[in-house]
Order: sequence, then C-alpha cells, then structure tokens
Amino acid sequence: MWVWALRFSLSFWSFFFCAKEVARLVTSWARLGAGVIPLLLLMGGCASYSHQYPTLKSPSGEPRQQELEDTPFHPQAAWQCGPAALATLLEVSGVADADPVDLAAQVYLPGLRGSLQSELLGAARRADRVPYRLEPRLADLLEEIRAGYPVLVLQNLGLSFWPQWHYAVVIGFDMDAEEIILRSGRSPRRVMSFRHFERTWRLGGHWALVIARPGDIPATATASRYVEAVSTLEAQQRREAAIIAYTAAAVRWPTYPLSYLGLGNMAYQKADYEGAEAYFHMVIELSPDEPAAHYNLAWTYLRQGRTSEALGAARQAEALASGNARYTDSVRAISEAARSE
Amino acid sequence: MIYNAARRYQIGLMMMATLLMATITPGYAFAGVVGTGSVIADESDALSRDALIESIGRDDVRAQLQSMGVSAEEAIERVAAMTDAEVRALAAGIEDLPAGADVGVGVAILIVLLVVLFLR
Repeated sequence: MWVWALRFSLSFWSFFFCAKEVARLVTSWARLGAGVIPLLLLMGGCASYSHQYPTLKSPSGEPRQQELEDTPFHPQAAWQCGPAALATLLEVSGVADADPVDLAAQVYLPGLRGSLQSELLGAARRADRVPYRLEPRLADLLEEIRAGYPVLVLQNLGLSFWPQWHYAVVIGFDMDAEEIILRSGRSPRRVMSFRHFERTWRLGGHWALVIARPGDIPATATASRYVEAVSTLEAQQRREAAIIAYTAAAVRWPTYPLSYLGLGNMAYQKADYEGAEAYFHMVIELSPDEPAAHYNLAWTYLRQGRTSEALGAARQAEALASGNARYTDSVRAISEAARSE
Repeated sequence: MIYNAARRYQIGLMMMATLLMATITPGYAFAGVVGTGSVIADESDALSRDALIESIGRDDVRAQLQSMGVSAEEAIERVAAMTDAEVRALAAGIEDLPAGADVGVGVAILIVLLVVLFLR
C-alpha cells in the first residue's frame, strides 16, 4: 500500500518537471517498483552489517571534534561532483591552479554523466601527487582529518541495487554529536549523522582518498600501500614527484626496503648508475632475499660495463627467484644484453 | 558493427593512437630493471605475475572512453595515468563501475520519500 502511496505522490510531483525529467522518473519508478517490495520485506533483516561508528574511540588527548574550516569549497556544476571534490583536495595539496572546470576535462565522462574512481586517481597523478587510498575504516578517516587532511569519499546516496553515486569531501567530525561534516555538491557544509554517512560510504565500497603535499605522507599510511601508490608514478616516469615521495617514505619507514628500491629505480631511470647501485645495495642489506634488488643491481653493473659483477648479481637473483618467472632467466637476460652491447 | 568508410577512418585513428600510446605506457619496461610496483604486486599476490602475460586492454579502455565522449588525445592521457589494475577493472566493464555524479531533483525527492517511508 505504501508503494502505491509513494507512486501517487511521485506522479503528483512529476507535473512540476519538464517532459524529459518525467521520462527519467518513469524509468526510475519502474526500477524502484521492482526494488521497493523486496526491500520492505528485507527491512526486518537489515541489521546484518555491524556499523563501525559505535565502536569509535578518540585517542586520549585528541579533540573529540574537529573541522578543517580552511578547506576550499568548489560548488559543483551539474553532474560534476568528481571534478569539484578533486579540485578541493588538489588545492589543499598545494596545486596552485586546481580548477574544477579544467579538471572536468580530465575526469568527467560524458557517457556516464559522472567520474570514475580511477580517473580521479589518474588526474591526481597527472598533477604529480600521490593519491593514497585509505583502508576501509572510519577510524582512519577521522585520523586523517585530525592530521589535517580532508578526505575524498565515494558515497552511494541511493540504495545498493539502485545506486546514486556521489563524491564528497569529509572536512570534519563531532564524536559527541556523532556527526560528519562534508563539502558536498552545492553545499559548503553538509552535516550527516555517523550512521547515515557510514551507510552511504559502505555502499560506496568504503572508498576514501587522501592527497598529501609532495613529501608529506597521510597519517594512516602503511609502508607497502604508500610505496605501491608511489610506484605508479615511477612506472609513469613522473620522476621528480616519485623521488620526493620515495624519499619521504624512506625517512618515515627507514627499515622498509622497497622505498630504496624505488629510489634506485629512479636513479637508474635518470642514468645515475652509481646512485642506483648504492640504493640497491641498501635494499639487499635490509632484505637479502629480495631477487629484484639483485636483478636490478645486475643491470646497473651492466650499464657501467662491469659485466662479470653483473653476471654474479644475476646468478644471485636467479638463485632467489623461487619460481618467480621475472627472475628465473636472469643470467641469460644479462649475458644476452652484455653481448649486444 | 558497421564497416563503412567512417568506421575505417576511426579504426585508422585508433591504430595511430595505439602506436603513439606504445611510446607513453609500456607498462614498466625501463631498460631492464624491474619496477617497484611489480615487486610489491608479487609480494601481495602471486597471481599478478601471470597477469603480466595477459593483455591488460589499455586500447579497449581508451576506445571505450572515446565512445563515451572523451577526445582521442584526452583518452590516451587518462589511460596512461592509470595503473594496470585500474585499467583491468575498467576493461571488465566501465558501465558497471561507480561514476560519481550528482543527485538530481527527482532522485532527491524519491530518496526523501523513501527515508520517510522507512522511518515510519
């Protein structure tokens, strides 16, 4: 009966829309009609997901509410919450000319009337920034706010089977009122209850993104996740940005070997083979069984014309390969390269 | 798919773009050494080694972006800025991925009504 009441009120509203809007609504109803009935039946059993927010604790001495009031606000144009939210984060990360209109050219997909997550990540890389995806924990999200980083989130404002995807920027929280504060759409300060926010965020796959200034690392970052994020800049040969980020990682996690592998690879990319050699030795010191360090060291020896040392390192890599196809043929690869030089 | 002159022209353009792309994103093939990303991928998931062999469909994704209204040059740039894993996710079906947009007026009213409905 409620469904029909709903439909009736909708048809009432629809008179106020233009024809196109009506057509869109009609298709929405059809989908909705199929969805609402099972949903109503499910309502009794919806509690299977346990929310994170009731178990949130604020670390002792940390404020129970915080708001990054200085976060810029870019009101979104139609369908363009992606560019607007991204512009906000990029501006905070020190990109001087972050403008939603320019960013729309990089992240807006006309065919979907929206922006894909990977396009946002890609646009951040194109601005020489490291986009860092948070782990799916509300506590981490709040910790980033405490550390001063606004967090870009994907929300589903609709229902799981009828999604309304939306990007917004979390800029604050209040643990006592159980509220989240966002820059969202055309609203510079939207307040949502923890419960409502968590629902929309969970339906968005708990997707959250932080973009730090070059040389800064998000508060909740782990060594391997962060270095993995940087390695994408390495692969795309965004060298200066990658070097700054790897250096920051080496300072924050001095015993994590792969930051040095990254720095070695960057030196190698710039044909600084002596520098690369030193970094690869550091990796080996921290992680003697890492075949990649020996393999890459072999190439740096080779580039310096030290063929026998190169072959020695290649043999090491091969011995440590333990079935990894990247390294099982190291000696042959190096000796062939040596012959062709 | 209709093969007419326009389509052939389009395919020609795509092939040219592909050639251009090859110079921008060779995955990671910087003269010998193994990229840091590959090492991390090996650590986290042995299966990803095999994914190397598999074509990751950058060209497919680029063509799809173009068909969704992105210019040829911009489509190349967008795909070039993505990781292999991201490209693979897009290749599996762009239309099924979340595209954050906006909530239209009609949709907003529906949602309000639904909320009212549930709170009763």
